[in-house]
Amino acid sequence: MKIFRFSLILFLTIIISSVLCSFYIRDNLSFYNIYLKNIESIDKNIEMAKKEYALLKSDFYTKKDMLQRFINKEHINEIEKNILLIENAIINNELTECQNLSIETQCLITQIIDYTTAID
Amino acid sequence: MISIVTRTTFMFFLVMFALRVMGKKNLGEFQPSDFVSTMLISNLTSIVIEAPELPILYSVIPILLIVCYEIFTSIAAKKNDKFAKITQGSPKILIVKGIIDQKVMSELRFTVNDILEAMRSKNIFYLEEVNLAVVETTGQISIYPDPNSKTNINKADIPPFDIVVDGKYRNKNLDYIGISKQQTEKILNQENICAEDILLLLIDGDKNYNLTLKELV
Repeated sequence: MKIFRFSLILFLTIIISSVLCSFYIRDNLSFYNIYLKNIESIDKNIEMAKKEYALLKSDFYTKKDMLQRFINKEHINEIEKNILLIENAIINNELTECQNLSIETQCLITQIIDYTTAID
Repeated sequence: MISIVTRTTFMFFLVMFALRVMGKKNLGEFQPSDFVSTMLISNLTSIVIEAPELPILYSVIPILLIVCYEIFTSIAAKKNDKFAKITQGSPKILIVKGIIDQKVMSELRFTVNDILEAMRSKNIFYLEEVNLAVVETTGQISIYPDPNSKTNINKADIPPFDIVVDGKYRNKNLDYIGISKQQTEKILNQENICAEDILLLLIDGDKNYNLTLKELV
């Protein structure tokens, strides 16, 4: 019975923590999508884009290590690469390129959310 | 590289812990569910060792979940006989007093060779010596030898060999016994049967034979 209790506690812990993890991943990644949507919708205002980008970047690097514990590192690296490309586009005042990259990153993030949280 | 070393070390101890919690000693004792768990655990372990880009939790969580399921199923099987029958099966009697139950044999997809092999591993060479043979849920065959067989059977110097199995001659074994195919056919003619009707024909060095005919199952 001791082993049963132990496995029951373990099982419930796994189920609860996996649900919490799913929410954590979805919430955080959705948050990046909001920043990216803002960057995408900014027309001809590179300063606004810079502001949004700075928020996105700082948030991403704060949570990067934590996210790597739950998400494939390759996915995180892809997001990071896109974020750096957006930075490069902002520095070069290429707003269209910046918007395209934002859309691309949003697609990538949506895909990752699907991979990690969807129940097929 | 250090990541692979730490991951392997961690996974080694995790799998050791998992198997210890499941309480299995060796492969021979494995029930189907144990076997499935062990297979899955070994595969899951290799995933994170081979792919350092994946979070270690991708293996740890499924392994712990499998351990939980394994414990739940074994406890449920202990409490409920019907559940145990579904998940683990039940022992089946294969041979009673030297007579093979061909229905059980075909049900379990056992061959005559499997039976002979199990007999030989228990130092039993004559089918008549088997009082009871039971196929355990682990797939092993347990044999209870006939206590009177040592006195009743005249054993030859050369033990019985399978001469006809499932209607086909084993020509190599004819040479071991020192009997020709014609002599064997003569025996079969005396019994008024043909080789195709035979499931198993065992003949020993003294030309004593044991005949098991095929049954319609």
